[in-house]
Amino acid sequence: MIQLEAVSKRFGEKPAVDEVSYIFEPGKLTGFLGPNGAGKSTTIRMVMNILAPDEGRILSNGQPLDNAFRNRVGYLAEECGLYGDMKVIDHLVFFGSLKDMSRSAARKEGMAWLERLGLADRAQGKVKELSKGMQQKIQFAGTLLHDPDIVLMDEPFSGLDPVNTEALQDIILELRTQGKTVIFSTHMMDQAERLCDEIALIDRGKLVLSGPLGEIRESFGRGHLRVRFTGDGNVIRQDSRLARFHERSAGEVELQLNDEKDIPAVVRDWSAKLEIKHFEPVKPSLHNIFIMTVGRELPSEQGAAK
Amino acid sequence: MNKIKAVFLREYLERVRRKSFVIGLILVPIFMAAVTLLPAYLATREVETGETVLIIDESGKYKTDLEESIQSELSSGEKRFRFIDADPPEGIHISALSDRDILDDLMKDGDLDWYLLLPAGLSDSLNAEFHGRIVSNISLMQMLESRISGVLRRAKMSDLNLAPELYEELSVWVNLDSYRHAKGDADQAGFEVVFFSTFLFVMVLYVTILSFGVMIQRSIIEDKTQKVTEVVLSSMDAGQFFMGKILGIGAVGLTQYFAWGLMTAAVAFSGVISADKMEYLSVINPATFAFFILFYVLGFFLFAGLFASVGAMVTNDQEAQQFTPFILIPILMPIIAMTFILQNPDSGFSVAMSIFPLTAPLVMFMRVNLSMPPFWQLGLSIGLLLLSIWLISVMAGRIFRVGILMTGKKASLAEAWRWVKEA
Repeated sequence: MIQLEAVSKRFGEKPAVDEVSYIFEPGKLTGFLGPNGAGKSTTIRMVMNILAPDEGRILSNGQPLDNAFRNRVGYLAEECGLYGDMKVIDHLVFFGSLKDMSRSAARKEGMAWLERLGLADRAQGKVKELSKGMQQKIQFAGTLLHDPDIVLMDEPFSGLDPVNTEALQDIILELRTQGKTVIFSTHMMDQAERLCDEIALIDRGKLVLSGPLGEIRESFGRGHLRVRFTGDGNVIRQDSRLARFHERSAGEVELQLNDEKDIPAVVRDWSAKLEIKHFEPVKPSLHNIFIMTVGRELPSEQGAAK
Repeated sequence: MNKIKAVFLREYLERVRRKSFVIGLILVPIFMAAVTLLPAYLATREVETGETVLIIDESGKYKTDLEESIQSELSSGEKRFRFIDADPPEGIHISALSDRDILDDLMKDGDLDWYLLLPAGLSDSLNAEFHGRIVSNISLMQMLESRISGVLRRAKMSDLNLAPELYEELSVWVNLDSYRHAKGDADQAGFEVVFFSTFLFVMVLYVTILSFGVMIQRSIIEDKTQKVTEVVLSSMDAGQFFMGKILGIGAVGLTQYFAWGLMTAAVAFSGVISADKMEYLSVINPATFAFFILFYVLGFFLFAGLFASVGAMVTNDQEAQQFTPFILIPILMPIIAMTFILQNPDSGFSVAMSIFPLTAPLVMFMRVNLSMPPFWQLGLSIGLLLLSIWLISVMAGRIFRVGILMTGKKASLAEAWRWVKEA
């Protein structure tokens, strides 16, 4: 269990992370979501003990982060976090020995992981000679070969083909059944939706939404409407009964009412002032929840526009 | 400790296993040997082709003697010089100096290699003239000078009615042998041997400290752009990472020296080198080698910290070039001052430079090699170096800790100083 207590970090005047409190629990997969520059990396770096928070504290099982903690963590960096010139097996031995494994134990575990991932024949080859998908598998092996309790993965599926994605998702799901604390950041909402037990959404340094995914979807489902209309959109936007509002395109909005009982009343009121073409209660996707919470589209990233 | 070792082994093994390292190990000594030995070898080589030459002796008194005196045989058995005459039957007419153009034409056509002009009326001193297509053959010049002097001297002796046999009697040759007194016992070491060996060692020291420093700087700049650095830092303290890195790269340098030391020893004992050339190798004795390693290690760590700080502050090699002159100047200073220090190893300037930490590694090594300085100077120099290394390492470690995670932006000196203070 990792506990963030009102953690803040500033770079110069600008707060990168602003009083974030959250508990990452064992046996759960937590999706750490947020647009670029929201403070995801900074938060991850603080949890990894690379950066120290300016205020607040981070505890692991109630204890401050120490050297022993470093050996219990597995971290998968975004994109290619490998030295291209190294031999695959040497690289895995290097990762293992960074976690205080003996070189021989690291070699044995490394080979076992390569077997499992179908890359045993590449052990003596150089990392840079592998395809991106294979490199990502090597990174997975490097992250997990010391059997960490806590696993942090930064965009683990970016740029992978469906077959590799499937294989690595299975590994992540297995970690959950082993009771490990798994945190992964992603901007691919459909993936987070399929895998995560919990989500933590961060925007502009603040934790804006968090909790079990089911509950969040449930709460967003109530009074969630999609409306197409012609006329002055301000009629809807300025309605005091709205909880959240998102303009998908000109004349099409998604919104949530504070109270779903208001639905008949708002339909009546808006129809009087606008021409309502389409009106539909919807169960929002995580993508829509994200956009409604953050209040803007994700910056054009692949896989986001679902 | 294990984690430092992991980084150390990675940095070390990845570099030593590279083909470029092995090639450098073999090529650098060959290159050094070529640069130092080849010119000396070529300069002493005898000319193996005959030359067509002309001696114009205005007095007419010395020509025959001089021709006889400079003539020698080539290995083919032919005469080295073919003397042509200013008179027929060679078909050349030279009335004194009136017609230099003819001689110039002959040289252009390749019918004449050079001519010598002895003006009339010489007695005590003489400005003879040598005209040739090539005037840079030093051994020929020296030979001509001494032979002309000899011929003139003999002529003067006969003018004074002295017996020609006295010439040999009156000739005295003085050769200055130099002995170096260091550590109490004297060993014979010619000036050029000491100069040559010190120069060579200092250049190797200079080049390796510089190149391994730059290697560290590059490696840190590279690490900043690589995500794997975050993975490493999630497993260990930035200070441990820094230490493993510097030790690993430094050990590559040491490996190189020991390999070269072994090669030198192998060459020395194999008998490939003739006894007179062994003199050059004799100065590469174990004590010199030990001091060399000592000052390499001290110099390396001193400058490694500085280069590492720059690497942590910048985002690419171009930006690094704004800072590197500050590091290069103290490394270069001893090289610029080397000739002076070699001639005056115990002057105040040399002593000061051998104690000032930034110039000490090179200058103290020079002085130790030339004449052993007093123990307190050596001790003070090494002590100050150790202190500076400690200070610079602490500073560099703090800059590294913050800088390694900074991407996309170069830090200013003021910012770097703040990192040092705030850590």
